[in-house]
Amino acid sequence: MQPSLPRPRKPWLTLRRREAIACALFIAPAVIGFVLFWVTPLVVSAYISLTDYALAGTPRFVGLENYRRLFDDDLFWQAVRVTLTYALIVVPMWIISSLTLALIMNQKLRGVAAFRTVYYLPAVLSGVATAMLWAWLFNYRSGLLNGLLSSLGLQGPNWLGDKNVALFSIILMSLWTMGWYLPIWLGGLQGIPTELYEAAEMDGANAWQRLFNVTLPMLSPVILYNLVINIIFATQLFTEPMMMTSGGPQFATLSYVLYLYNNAFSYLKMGQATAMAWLLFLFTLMLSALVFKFSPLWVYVESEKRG
Amino acid sequence: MTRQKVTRRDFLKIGAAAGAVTLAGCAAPAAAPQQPTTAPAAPATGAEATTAPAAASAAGEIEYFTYDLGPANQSREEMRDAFQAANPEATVKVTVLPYGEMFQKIAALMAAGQPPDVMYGDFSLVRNALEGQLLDLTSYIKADPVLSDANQFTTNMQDDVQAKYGTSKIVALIMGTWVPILYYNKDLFDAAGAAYPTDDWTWEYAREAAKLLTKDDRSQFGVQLGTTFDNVGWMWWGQQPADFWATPQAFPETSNFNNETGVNVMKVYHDLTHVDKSAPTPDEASGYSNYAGPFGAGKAAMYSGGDWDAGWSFRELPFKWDMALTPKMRKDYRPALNTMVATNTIASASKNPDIAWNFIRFITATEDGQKLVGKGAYETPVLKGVAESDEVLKPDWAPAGYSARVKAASLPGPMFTPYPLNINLWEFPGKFLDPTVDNVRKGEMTPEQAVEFLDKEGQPYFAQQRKDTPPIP
Repeated sequence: MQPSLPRPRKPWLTLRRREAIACALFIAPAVIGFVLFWVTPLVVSAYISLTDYALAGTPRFVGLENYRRLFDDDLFWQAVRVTLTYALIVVPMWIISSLTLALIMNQKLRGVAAFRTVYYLPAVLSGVATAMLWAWLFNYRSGLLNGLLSSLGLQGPNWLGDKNVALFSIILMSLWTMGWYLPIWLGGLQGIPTELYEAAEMDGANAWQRLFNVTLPMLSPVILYNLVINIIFATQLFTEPMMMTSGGPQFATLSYVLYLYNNAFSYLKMGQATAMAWLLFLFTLMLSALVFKFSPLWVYVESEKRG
Repeated sequence: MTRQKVTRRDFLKIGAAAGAVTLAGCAAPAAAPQQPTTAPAAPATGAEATTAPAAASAAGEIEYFTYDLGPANQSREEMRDAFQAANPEATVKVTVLPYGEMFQKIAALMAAGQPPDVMYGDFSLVRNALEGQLLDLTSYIKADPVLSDANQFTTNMQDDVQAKYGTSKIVALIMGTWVPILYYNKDLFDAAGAAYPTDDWTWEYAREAAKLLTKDDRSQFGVQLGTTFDNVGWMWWGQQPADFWATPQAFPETSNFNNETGVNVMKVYHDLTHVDKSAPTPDEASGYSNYAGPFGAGKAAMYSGGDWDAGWSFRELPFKWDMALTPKMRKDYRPALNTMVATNTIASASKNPDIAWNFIRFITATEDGQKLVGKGAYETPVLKGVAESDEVLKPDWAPAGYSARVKAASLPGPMFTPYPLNINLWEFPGKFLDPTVDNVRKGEMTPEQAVEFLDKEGQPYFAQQRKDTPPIP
């Protein structure tokens, strides 16, 4: 019997393993960052929402007590009402106004680049600074708006001091930021193949028909994106009421996130504040999921197989 | 030369160890707090005792958090400079932050175990006191010949702090006091031919004067009431007999608005704003974006506010103004009291408690420190010799009645807890009191309805707060 030759030892670091290690090293920074700065705070905040924690001292476990207290709290529901009212008005308003603006800015007009810059400018300005600027514009006695109305012989409202008007003043101010969406809309508009318009024109479609039968269907994925982003932005209303009204008068502008902030940093009720954050997260997630669920009904995706 | 081979396993081990060290470094708890080692500074005797800076043996740096005091910020820097000149081994880093932000930052730093060494402040640190995060200064104060001598101060250095923080320990050192003041615009009084307010005014006098000084077209108001939070408390205590002495209750178990005193407080708001229309409604006041609203704009003849306004924002008012004691509710009732104290506290986790103690002692117990408090004019000094000096009573910029603040601070009486204060200083006022008072001012609630509502909402609120409050140390 011939002695068998020793089989060459298979190297541990095979190509497959080398690739796996390289892959792990490349994604490690992102994964570590994600775990440290996203997952860990999420888990910790979920735990804190079940505790009584005032930053001072150690958290005391109270189960679902923070959630129960929130549901019994009139101001919590007031904050929900204010935020929903704001979102219901502002989201369609943002989408319609910014899309309209983008359609105009998408025309081959003289000086359009300058207009695009001007409309986008508010998006790069500090929210706090613009809120202060608007607070001055809205000032009941010395503001520019009431000054203009007064020169026309009209008595301007108390924009931020009247509980029936204050939220609508903030909604009005929100229009100012519509330029934020302009690049997204323009990107979408410019991605629509021109042959579709040419074909529609050859079929005798007028401008409205081209808008409703070509532009909007082709733009529907961008509309979906903007809708989801807008819902998230609208439910996070904070800077304007914080800077301009502190949630007043009589809580008329107490947004959900402002109340969350007050609970966290004015009343030092970290447990309730994180409970609010989780409720907001779940609400936004649910709303976004609904939007996505119904999106096949109105969003056109080119690769989609139908029938 | 041989090369030592580093295997992959070694490499991984080294990497893991390095990572662990890095993470441990990030998460390392703050160094254990040091206990003060030096005996409390013991100045010699007599007048000299208070002029000598505290004996300092420690070297190192401390951080002093103070909120933005406008022009008085300068005095904080001067305190630092004077202290450092007397204690060359010590360094004080002064950090000035906006009011709300400072307490948020302290809360976050406390949670991280890295608080500033010394914190200027008010009631907002109560929770930290209850959690044992503020250094117990009791033995320091009791061992100090100046600080333990009640006769040297205009306020009770022990009772007032304990009442304020609700603890049996003394966790803060008082550096100054605040009192309510009635400010008035002399130009508007002169134009109306009205007599200036005096220290013995009652609210009925003020009410009549306000009517006279109000214009029908709403371009001028007779009186403006400052912060609800402060004013309700002042009016509450202004209804007590002259010999009344209360035991302040830092953590009450119930609210007690629905009584004659409470109704009378609400009536002041109701009568001035809704009945006489001599005070601006909340809507009208919101149109003035300057500090102190219509008064600051020269459109209100009187303003009931705190004496800190004089040193902070009123120095540059573009009209002639003066100060008097806040009106009493009735002739036989007590006048404005020594109402609030400004304090410095030391974090238990301070790495340099000796320097921190020497610094806050310098501010409170030495003439130099107290003169700087008087110069800043945000608080009134507490050291009698300084508080009653011309330097403090008659600064160049101040009107003749400026001494009213010292007069008020020196009146006998406790530092009051205006109404159920508690661990969440801003929650009850923000959620219930301010909106209710606004409703009274607008005529949407009667005084009786207001106090009934406050107790209906307040009683379960305070019961819950009491349950949530940690045991008092």
